[in-house]
Amino acid sequence: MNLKVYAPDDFPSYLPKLNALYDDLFKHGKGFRSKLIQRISKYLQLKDDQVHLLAQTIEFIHNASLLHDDLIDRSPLRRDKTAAWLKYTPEYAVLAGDYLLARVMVNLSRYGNLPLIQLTAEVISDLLEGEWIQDSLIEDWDVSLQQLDRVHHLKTASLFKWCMRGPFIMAGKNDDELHKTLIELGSLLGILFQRSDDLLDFNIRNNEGKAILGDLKSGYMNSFAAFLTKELNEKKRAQFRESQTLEDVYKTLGEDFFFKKLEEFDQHNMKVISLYEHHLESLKKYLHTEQQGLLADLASLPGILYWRKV
Amino acid sequence: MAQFVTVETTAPEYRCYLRGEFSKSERALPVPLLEANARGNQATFQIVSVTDIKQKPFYLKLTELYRFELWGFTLLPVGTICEWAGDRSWPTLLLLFAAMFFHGAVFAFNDYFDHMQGVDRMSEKRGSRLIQEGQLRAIDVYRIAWVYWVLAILTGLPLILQNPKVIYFLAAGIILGTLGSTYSRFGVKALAINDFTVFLCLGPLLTGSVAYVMAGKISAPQLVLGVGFGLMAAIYVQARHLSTAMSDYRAGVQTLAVRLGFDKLKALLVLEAATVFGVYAFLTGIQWHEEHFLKFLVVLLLVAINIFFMLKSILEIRSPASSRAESLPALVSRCQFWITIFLFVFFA
Repeated sequence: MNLKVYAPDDFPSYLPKLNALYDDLFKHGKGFRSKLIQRISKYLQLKDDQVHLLAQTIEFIHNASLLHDDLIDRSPLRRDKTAAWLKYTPEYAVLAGDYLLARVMVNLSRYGNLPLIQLTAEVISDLLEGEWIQDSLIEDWDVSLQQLDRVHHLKTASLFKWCMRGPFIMAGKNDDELHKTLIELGSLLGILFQRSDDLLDFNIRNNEGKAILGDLKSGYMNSFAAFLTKELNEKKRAQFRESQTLEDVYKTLGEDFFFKKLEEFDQHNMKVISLYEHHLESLKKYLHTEQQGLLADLASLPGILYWRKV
Repeated sequence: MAQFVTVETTAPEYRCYLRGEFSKSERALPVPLLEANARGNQATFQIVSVTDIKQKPFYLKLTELYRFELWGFTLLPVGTICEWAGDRSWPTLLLLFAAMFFHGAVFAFNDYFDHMQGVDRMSEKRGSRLIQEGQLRAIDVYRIAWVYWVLAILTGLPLILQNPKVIYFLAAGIILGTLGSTYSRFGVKALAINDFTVFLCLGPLLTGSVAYVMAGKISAPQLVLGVGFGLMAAIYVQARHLSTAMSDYRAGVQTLAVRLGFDKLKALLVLEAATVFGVYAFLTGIQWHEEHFLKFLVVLLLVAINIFFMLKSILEIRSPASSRAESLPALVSRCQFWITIFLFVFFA
């Protein structure tokens, strides 16, 4: 599926560098969210163009946030390549992100599914709120895991909630109780995904070779860092903040302590997985017999998202 | 594997899970809500065996439930005014005991009702967290609250019988307290100014009524001191609401933090903190030729130090999610605790 182009007027060729920028951006992404959409849509018997629109929408929103995020954080790399703001210009990066969101609105409004448009607008709003708040947490070394969860709920989980709800709305299933369950499922997936991403920063289950301690060096205490340092004294926390390598972290905290806390963090998140499985059970009553296979598909997601099982 | 149960809030078993009456060997711990406006008509609980929860000793649970750290807003102001009134006899002792038990009752009931209304699922920083951690069942907290309440009435009754006009102060406090905590059309909570009722009830009304009970009269300086106490109590409430502003906004809960917004509330906190200093400076000034002048001067210095740290913390808050916002209520209660402890000691 060519996610980039849904409508003929997506990405006009007369705009300089626009297509090159997007080709760079979409080339190396994993497309997890669009794959999730496709998985769910399969069971709801959505038409190809519907699935295409949903998949494009979520990838556009996600990639728009990446374009803006990299500029805000001044990250030089994205997916091991030079970030768009650096390769092109910061102005183009901002405009490119805005353009993706504008195309989302154009394509969705042409399609005409009002509840889907409403949901999408809310998700974009939540994403931006989360980004705004997260920016205020740079160099806030005492931020708690609970407050980080609230930010991640806006930033990361909102997209997963959209992935869960979008296909059902497209299929015309707008039952309130169904969507409350989908919201819970999406929220929990988002939290698990974010926490797993935060563990990559400490080289835990880092199969994709993400840069180590990138968050810490950028002045951001991610969820695992907040969990690790919660009960430490001020001196140890200050030393932790100065860490440049994982060896520095082990030296400051002690390797045994580090891995003990990792085990506790994993146990903490296993409760989240159990809660996810609990809510998945309640989804059963909203599905016809031929749709029950969706439950098995959704049940495998925590393994993929948190434990990074391929 | 953790075990969960989701129940409709209209189902008869919901109340049983909430109060902890569904089982003697298990606890139903409320699952926190991240989607603040999704409370709806369902609630999810994690079912945990009592033996799987490391239980604290009962005296420690009672201590945490009691919230000694908030004495600076209740008992210590009462004690300060009692000593200022110069009375050392049995009414003072009874009043202090009544205030102690009333403090315990208020915060235990607060924990219970926050839990029963599901407020505790939206914010992890409210109350003692004993119910949410499975240390006490909600029904136990409710019973403890009633014990405190009965003891408060028993110890306070002789004072009312000795001076029946105290009933008017009590009635005013109860009416204000009720208006301040209800969302009804007469309630001020819906107008997002329940901080004002907190200011009155833990401020001038408290100091005025205690002074009246002790000495049969109220002096202006005692009311002014009450303004200082009330402002600190209001700052505490507003600081709490500042850190929960994100979830309150999304849940449609109208606090002053939500109504004014982040920037204006910060400005208000700064103004209130500066006014607290102004109150103590004024009281010190009017004591210029009086016997307590040096004591007030020392208290003023202490207030200045505490207000400085509070202002520094307020100005460093960058957003409702920041750690400074989370820690501000505890800082305010600590500052008020030390100020009132010093006042209490100096007047003794």
